[in-house]
Amino acid sequence: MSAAASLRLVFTQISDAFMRANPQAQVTLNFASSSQLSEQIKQGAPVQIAAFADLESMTELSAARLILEPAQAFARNQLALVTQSNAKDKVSSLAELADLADVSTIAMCVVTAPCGKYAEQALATAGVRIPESRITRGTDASTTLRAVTEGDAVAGIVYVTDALAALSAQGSPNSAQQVLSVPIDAKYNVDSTYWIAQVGKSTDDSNNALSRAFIEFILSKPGQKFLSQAGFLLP
Amino acid sequence: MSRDSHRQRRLLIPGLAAVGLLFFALPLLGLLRKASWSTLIADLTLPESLSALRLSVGCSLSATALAVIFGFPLAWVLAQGRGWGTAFLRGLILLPLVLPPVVGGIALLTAFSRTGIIGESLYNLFGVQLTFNTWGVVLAETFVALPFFVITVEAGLRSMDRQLEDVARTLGAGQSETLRRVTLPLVAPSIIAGTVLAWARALGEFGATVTFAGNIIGRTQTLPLAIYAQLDSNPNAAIALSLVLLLVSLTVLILLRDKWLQSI
Repeated sequence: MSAAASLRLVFTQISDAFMRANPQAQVTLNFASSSQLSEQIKQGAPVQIAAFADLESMTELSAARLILEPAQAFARNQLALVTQSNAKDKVSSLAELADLADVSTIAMCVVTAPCGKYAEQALATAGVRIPESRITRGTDASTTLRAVTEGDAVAGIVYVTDALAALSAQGSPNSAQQVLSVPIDAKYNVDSTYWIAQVGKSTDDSNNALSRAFIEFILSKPGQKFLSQAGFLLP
Repeated sequence: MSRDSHRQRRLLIPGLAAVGLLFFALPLLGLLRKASWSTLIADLTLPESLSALRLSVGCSLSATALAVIFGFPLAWVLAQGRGWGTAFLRGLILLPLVLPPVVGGIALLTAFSRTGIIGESLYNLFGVQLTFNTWGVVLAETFVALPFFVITVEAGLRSMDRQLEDVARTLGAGQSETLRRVTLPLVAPSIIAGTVLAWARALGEFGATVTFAGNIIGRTQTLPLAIYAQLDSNPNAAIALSLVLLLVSLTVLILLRDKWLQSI
């Protein structure tokens, strides 16, 4: 299955749990930005399930008649700031982020990826402008986060769930920098919904039943519990 | 019967060669077919395309210059050496050839980022930050391009008749004169070939650059990064830029072949 990069950790957990419950199932996960995945599927990538961070990428698939049934919403997410924890580079709002961008580099997703699109929306709502020459663009949510946790970007806009994952990873002594997660003011924050659907042209595919079962599992109580533990909101 | 099998065998090699050729030619043809020729000029003159072209040319040439400056002495030292020490050194220098470029980028971060081994002092003492700026691109490109220069020039130095250097010295030439008037002219073909290979590698560099220097339009977004970034939003521009990259590299490699590459 193909899933948005921001789902990496939680979908790995969910698919492990699913495969334990269904030993005959073999779930192979492919992560990238939703727009990249949608493009891959249109080019004929052998994918049974698509889980995207925006409706637009899903609509593209249904317009190309590549999904079997209407997509279902299974989780929501919001944006957060991740910043270096040292006092000099720490930011606490989008406006401060713009000030910091005058002297340092900020990480955001490419505007074609949902996380980049939402970040642009949040900045626009807050009336904050950051010149393109100060932004390093990650191709998806995880590369963007990595620019802050391992690279020298002082701050970035990612999903709340990515920020949480980065914080919990800091327990390991290997993590290069200490980062903080700062919530974005609800006035400006963007509420994004994740969608899931079966990919394919006909319903008589032999993997069909298992794919359906996987989607049911994600929408079920245990599946939703994994999602909320990872910081996702319920749909 | 023996004539038949003889004929089959004679056709085997050209046949396999044809398959090999198609394997390379078809994807390139596909790219040409997919290109949007009517918008080519417009796609290439987009501000993002132009800045990527400019950055790619500047950074790849700078990286090549660094590869030559530091690579020649390295090749020279390696060509003198024998035994395990030299083998180890050579392995170390050639490592970026086989290392996934992304890993190269992470390795560069551990050394030169603001928290890296020497990057930290560079930043704290001099305020120099290599990541996320154009010098970071040059650094990453040099890292992956240097081995190409070293391996080519070392081969040239090793295959050269070293007695000529001794003859020059017995005739009274000093070390620098011997280098200038005997060694360098003899290995010039290797130096040129190595320079061009290093430059071509630097031009196509992606993984180490995006990991170490990021993806900033106008500052670190070189051609390969721009191509990747535009695949989603503007595939026509991505293909147009790819064609430029292909055309330039192919031209140089063809020109090079007749004059210099034959000798190695």
